[in-house]
Amino acid sequence: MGIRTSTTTDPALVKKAQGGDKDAFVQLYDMYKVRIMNYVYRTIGDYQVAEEVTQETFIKAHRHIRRYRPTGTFSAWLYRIASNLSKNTLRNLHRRGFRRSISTIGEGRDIWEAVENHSTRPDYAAQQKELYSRIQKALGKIRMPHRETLILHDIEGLSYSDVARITGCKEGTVASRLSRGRREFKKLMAVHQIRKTGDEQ
Amino acid sequence: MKGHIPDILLARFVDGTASPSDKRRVESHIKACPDCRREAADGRSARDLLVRAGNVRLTPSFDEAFLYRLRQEEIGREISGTSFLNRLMDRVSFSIFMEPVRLRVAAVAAAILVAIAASIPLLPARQPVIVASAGKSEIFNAEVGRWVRAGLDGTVRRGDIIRVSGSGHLDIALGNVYTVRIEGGSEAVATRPNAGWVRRNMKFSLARGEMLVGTGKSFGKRAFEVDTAAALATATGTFFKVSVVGEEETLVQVKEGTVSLRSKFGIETEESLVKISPGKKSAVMPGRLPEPARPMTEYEIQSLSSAYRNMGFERAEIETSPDGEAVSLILPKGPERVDELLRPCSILVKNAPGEVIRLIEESQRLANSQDYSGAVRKLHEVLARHPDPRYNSELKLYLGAQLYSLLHEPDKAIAEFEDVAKHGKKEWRSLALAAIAEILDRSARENRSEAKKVFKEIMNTYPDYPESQLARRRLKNM
Repeated sequence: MGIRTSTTTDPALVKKAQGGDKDAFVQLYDMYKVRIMNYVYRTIGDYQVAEEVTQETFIKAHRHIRRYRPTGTFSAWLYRIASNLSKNTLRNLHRRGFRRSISTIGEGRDIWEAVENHSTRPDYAAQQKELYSRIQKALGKIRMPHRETLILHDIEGLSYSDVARITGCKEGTVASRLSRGRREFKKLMAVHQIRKTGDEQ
Repeated sequence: MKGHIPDILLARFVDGTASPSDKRRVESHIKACPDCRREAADGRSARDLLVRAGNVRLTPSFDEAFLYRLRQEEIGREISGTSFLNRLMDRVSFSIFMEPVRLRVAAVAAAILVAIAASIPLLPARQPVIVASAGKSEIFNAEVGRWVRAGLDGTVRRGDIIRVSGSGHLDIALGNVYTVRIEGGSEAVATRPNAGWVRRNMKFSLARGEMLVGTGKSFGKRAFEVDTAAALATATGTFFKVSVVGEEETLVQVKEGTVSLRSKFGIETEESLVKISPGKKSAVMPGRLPEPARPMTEYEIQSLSSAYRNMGFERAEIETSPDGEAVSLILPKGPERVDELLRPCSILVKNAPGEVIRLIEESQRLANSQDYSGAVRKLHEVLARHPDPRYNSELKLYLGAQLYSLLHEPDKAIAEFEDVAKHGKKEWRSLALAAIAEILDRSARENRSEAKKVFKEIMNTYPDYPESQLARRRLKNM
């Protein structure tokens, strides 16, 4: 399940963190670390790098928290830092020739949170994890602006206006990217399905 | 509706955020148009799949590693843009190294290694590489058993012999841990180029020629050793140069930190060990005791500084000037030095009265144990009891930076910076003004215009100082 925790942050907590209260900042970090990690991992596709980028996101947030203005939500501000950092990182890695390895790393490793026990079927958890990996694989093949929009809206559950603010475009663009991204995603998942049934025969 | 549903409307319809009239239009259209009906169904199923995407699990040591970095950030150490990239490259090479292994056992082993690597972020698990090379250099690869040409990005392994010819040089770096330069006409052995998983000292042996050692931000508490026929030089977190000259005489020059020089003569006594502080040098002949440390000449200091600059150590830029600055701020040269100052930066204290050195050291100890107000009190004490125009400006800048970054007292910090800007040494005035402007700009929106004014003042009064570049850039963005 994508996380659907409340997006409203206690503004007093942010204010405290802006005043230099470290505990307040650590509380904010605890609230958002999993969401940012999810977002970064899905964007970059490499677990190790994603952990590094996630930590750097919070270090940057800590360094510049005084610059945050409560015109948008705090989470949108964090996502924006993570988004810029992820894109820069990808650029940097591509420039250094890590293009191909990136998308394939992480396969076969158990990086997913344990699945809640919805069913008594023993293979349910394994199936779910396989589905997660397939979703991730398909996402990795989608073009960056579309991929980012899908992750932020459909997986992370952010509103059109927050996504627009994070990606720096208009809400209309968010909507059209969503449509195109979903179309691409659906196609990629279908291809996988066909290949899989083909293999079995 | 003519044609098909546009993408903008389709997404809103699928997400249920279309206006009632749009919704009606789309509904009536898809009744008649099977293509659009399929599109909408596909969009919905794609979205439903994505909503079900799982959460990624964090490594158990994730929090620990983050809190460690936060602490480092707070005391102004480590972690800048470049070190982030370096850490990233460590992680990437690690991933690629593990990639072909698909066995289940390997996955478990990888998870454990990841946990270890993440909990000890400063411990590198890789070989140093050649980062710069001039002239001809060769490496005797112990595994292959022959000499190979040393090229960029080549790795240096334990036991490799490195030979640099004539006028060239070869720089070998282990990420952010250290960089060594082996000068032309030298021969060295990478005795232990990597600390490995156990925190051991790193060690190179120098048979002849010259070698410069520069340790980086991630060096930590290990030591770097250079072994020669006559002596063993051991350093902790420093910049120093070892030369083997003439009849195997070993000469050590120190730029930063302390180096212990031990002669390999007979049994160890007190006299066989000399501690060399920054700006000093010592020499030892084979079979003799080391000379007592004595000051380097101005020429030696300058050529050492320029060698390190050449190696890319910008932070080590500021050096004791011949007339002996008492307190130096460790800052880069460019317009970004105000950022480094406010972090706050590090300082170097030399040639000052013993009482002053003691108080500053105490202040730093307190700051390290997070007693920031105690640290600031000690600095006030120095300024009140030992005022000295040779270091007042530097200490006030440092104090201002601590007040701002550690105690979050922008007003008091600005007061210190204003004092430097008005009465301090000329060379620091533009930096002090830039610090004021930065603090104003970072604080509240209503202070923006004040910040603007200060930036303008910098541009008008100090056009030749690096801060005027910063001011121009910032004013453009405001």
